[in-house]
Amino acid sequence: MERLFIPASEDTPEIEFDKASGVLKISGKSLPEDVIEFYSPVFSWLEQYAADPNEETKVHVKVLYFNSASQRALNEIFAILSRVGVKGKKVEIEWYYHEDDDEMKETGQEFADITSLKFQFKSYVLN
Amino acid sequence: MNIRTFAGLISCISLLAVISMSLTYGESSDDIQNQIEQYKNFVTRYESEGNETELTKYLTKLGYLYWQIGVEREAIDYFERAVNVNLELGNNNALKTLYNNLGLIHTENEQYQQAIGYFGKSLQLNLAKGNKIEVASDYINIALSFQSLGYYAESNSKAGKALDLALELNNLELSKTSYGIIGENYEKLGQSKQAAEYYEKYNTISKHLQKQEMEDMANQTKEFEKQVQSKEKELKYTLDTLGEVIELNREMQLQNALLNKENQLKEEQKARLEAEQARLKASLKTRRTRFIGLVIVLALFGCIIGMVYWQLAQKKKANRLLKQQNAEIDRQKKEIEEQRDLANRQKKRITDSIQYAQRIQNAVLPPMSFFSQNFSDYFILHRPKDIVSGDFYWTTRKDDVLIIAVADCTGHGVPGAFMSMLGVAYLNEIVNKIAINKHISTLNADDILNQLREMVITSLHQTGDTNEPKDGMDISICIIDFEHKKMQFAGANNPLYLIRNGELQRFTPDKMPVSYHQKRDVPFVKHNIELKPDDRIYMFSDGFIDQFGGNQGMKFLAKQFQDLLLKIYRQPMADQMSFLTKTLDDWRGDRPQLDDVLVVGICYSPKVSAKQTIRKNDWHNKTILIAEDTDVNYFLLTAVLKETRANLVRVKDGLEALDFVKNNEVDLVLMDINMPRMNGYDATRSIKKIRSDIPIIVQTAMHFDDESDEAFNAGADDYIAKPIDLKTFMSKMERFLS
Repeated sequence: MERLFIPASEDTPEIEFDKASGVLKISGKSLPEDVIEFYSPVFSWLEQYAADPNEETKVHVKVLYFNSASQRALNEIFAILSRVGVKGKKVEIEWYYHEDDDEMKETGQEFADITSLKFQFKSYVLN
Repeated sequence: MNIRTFAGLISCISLLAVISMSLTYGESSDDIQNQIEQYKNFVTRYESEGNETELTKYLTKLGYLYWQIGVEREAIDYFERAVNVNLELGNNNALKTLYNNLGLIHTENEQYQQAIGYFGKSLQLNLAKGNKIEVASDYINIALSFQSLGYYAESNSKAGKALDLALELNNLELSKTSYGIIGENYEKLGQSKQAAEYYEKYNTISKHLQKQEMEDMANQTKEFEKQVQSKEKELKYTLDTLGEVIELNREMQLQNALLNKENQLKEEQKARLEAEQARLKASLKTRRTRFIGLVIVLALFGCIIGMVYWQLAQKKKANRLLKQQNAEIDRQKKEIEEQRDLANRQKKRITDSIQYAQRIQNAVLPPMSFFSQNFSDYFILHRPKDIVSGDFYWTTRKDDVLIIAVADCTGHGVPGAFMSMLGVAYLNEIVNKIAINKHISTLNADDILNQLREMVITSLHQTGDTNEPKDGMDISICIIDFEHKKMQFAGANNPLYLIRNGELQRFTPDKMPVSYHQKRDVPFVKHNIELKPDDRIYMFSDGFIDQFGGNQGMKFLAKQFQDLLLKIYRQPMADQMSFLTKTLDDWRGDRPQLDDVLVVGICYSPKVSAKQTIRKNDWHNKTILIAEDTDVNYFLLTAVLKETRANLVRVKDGLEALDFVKNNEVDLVLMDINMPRMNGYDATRSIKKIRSDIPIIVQTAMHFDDESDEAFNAGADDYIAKPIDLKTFMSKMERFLS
C-alpha cells in the first residue's frame, strides 16, 4: 500500500499514513470549508488499510484545533480504526494536547470513551 | 554606458593628464621651498663656520632657485652675496658666471644700465683671462643692452667687437647673433643698406645654423632628456641624492672651469642651451604627454561614442519590442479590468444579498430590551466571522420563568446562518409546544435539548452515513426560575460559568452535539443550580476560546478565559464587554477571526424579576390576522404574541387576507408589505373599503423614509418597523386591542 502524505495548509492538517511502519500521523489545524472534500481520501486510505491492517498500528494525533465538522471526521476515522481493533490487531492512539488545553484533553477522553480504542494522553508545551 | 560612467572616465583621463603635466614642470613649488629652506640653513651654517667655499656654493644655488621661481630681488641679493664671497676667494670663474647671471636678471627686469654694468665686469674678467668666446658673449650682451636702451651706435660698436672675435674664432653662432644685432641697429639708425647687408649675412648663417642646430639639438635633446630624467629621478627620491647631484654639478662645473678652451666652450654652450633646452624639453615633454593624453582621450572617446551608438541601436530595437509588448499588455489589461469589474459587481450583489439576510437574522434575535427588563445588568458580545452568523442566542419568558439559550451551529457564514434560523424556529416550536401541553415551570433544560436533537436529526434526515454532512449545533441552555431562585442548565458541548464571590464554577456540558452522533441515544444531563443575588452567569460559544493569537499562534484557551472573567466580573457588564472585545482583538492581532464569537453575560438579581415590566395582556378572545409570507417573520410574531394567548390566524398574501376578513371576525390585522399576488398596501386599501373599523398595523422594513407615509396613505392605522422592538410593538397592539 502506498504511503499517504498530504502536506499541511492554512486550514488543513498534515496527514502522514505509512503502512510499512504502521504509523499514522495527523498534525496541525483542521478547519477546511469543505470537510468531506479534504477527508474523503483519508477515509478511503483507512478503509483500504482496515481491510489488511498491520499487526500493530500506532496513531499520533497532535491537532491544535478542529472545527465541529472536522471533529465528526475524526469520529469517522476512529470508527474505521475500531474495526481494525475488533479484528484482533493492536491499535494504539497517542493523543497530544497542549498542557493548558483542558478541552483538547477532554475531547480526547471523550473519543476514548466512545471508541473502544486504547488511548494514551501526552501533553506538550510550545517552546 | 551611461552618462555617469562617461563622466568618470573623462575625469580619470583629465586627472592623468594633469598629473603628467605637473611632472613635466619639474619640481613643484613645495620642493623648491624645501630646497630654499635647506640651503638657507647651509648658508647660515657655513657662514658661521667660515667655510666660504661651501657658503658661496649655496649662495649661488639660492640665487638660481629664486631666479627660477621668479623672485628676482632675492636672486640678485644672493648672487651679489656670492659675488662678495667669491671676490674674497678670488674665484674668477665663479665670479664671471655670477656677473653674467646678474646681467641677465637685470636684462629681464629691463634694468639695462645695471645689466651693462654686470656684463662689463664679466667682460673684464674674461678679457683678463683671455676667454675669447666669453668675451664675445659679453660684448653681445652689452650690445643688446645698449640696443634696448636705444644707443644703437654704441650697440654696434660692441657688436662689432663681438663679430670680430666670432669671425676670428669661426664661431657661427656668435657671428650670426652679431650680424643680427648690427643689422637691427642699422635699421634703427635708418641705414637700410647696411641693415640689409647684415641681415643677409645673418640669414645665411642662421639657416645653416638651424640645420646644424636641429641636428645638434636632436642629439642634445636625447642626451639631455636622459640626463634630465635621471636627474629628476634622483631629485625626486631623496634630498641626499640631490645634494650629491649638486655636488656632481659643482664638480662638473669646476672640472669644466679647470679644463682647456674646449671645456669652457661646452659649458658656455651648455649655459645658453640649457635655457632653451629646458624650455624645449619641457614643451616636448608636455607636448608628448599632452599628445599621449589626447590620443588616449580620443581613443576612449572613439570607444565611448562607438559604444553609445551601439547602445542606441540596441535601445531602438528594445523600444520597438517594448512598444509591441506594451500594446499587448494594454489589451490584456483592459480585458482583466473588465473581468475585475464584472467580478466586483457580482461580489457586490452577493454581499448585498447577504447583508439583507443579516437583517432577517437580526430580526429573529431577541431584542436588547428583553435583557434589560429581566436582568439588572447584562452584555451580549456577538461578532460574526462573516456578515451572517452561525451563532445565535434565544430567549423567552413566561411568568417567573425565563429561558435563555446560546448556540453555535456547524459552520459560519451562510451555512451557519441557515442552521441558526432553524435553531430559532425549532426552539420556538419546542418551547411553545411544551408550554401548550404543560406549564412552563415544568420545563426541563435537558428535555429541550433531547427534543431539539430529534428535530435536527429528523428534519435534516440524518442517518449517520459516513459521507453525510453532520450539521447541527452546540448549545447551552438555562432555565431561570426567579421565584424559586434556581437555575437549570443543560449543555451540548457548551459549558456555563457562574462566578460568585471570586470563585468560578464551571458546569460541564455533555460532550455531544445536537445532531446525529454516536451517542444520539444518550439523553442530555440536567444540572440544578441555586442562585444568589449578584451571581454572574456566562454563556458562550467556543469562538472566543478557540481564537488563534498571541506570540505563538495558540488558542486563547478556556483557562485564560476563566482567569480573565475572574478579573473583571465585578465591573459593569458593558465594561466587561469592552474589555473582552479589546482582549480578543489584541490577542488576535493580524490573524483572521477563526469563528463566530458569542459571549452572553448576565447579572442575576431577584429584585428585578419581581418587577413585572411586561404588561400582562389577555387577548384570548381576540383574533389577530397575520398576513405574512415569510415563515421566519411569522415565527417571530407568534413568539412575541404567545403570552397574550390571542388567536393567531395566518395568511400568506393580500388576497387571502382580504378573503378572510370578508368571511370572519377579525380584531386586528398585522400586515406585511411584500407579499405575492397582492401586497400589503393594496390589501390594506381593499380591507379598509369593506371594513374600515378593523385596525391594521403595517410592518415596514423601513428601507425608505416614505414607507410609513405610504402606509398611512393606504389607510393603515399604524406601522411597526422591522426589526420589531417588543415594547413598541406591544404598546401599539394594546392601543387597538385593549
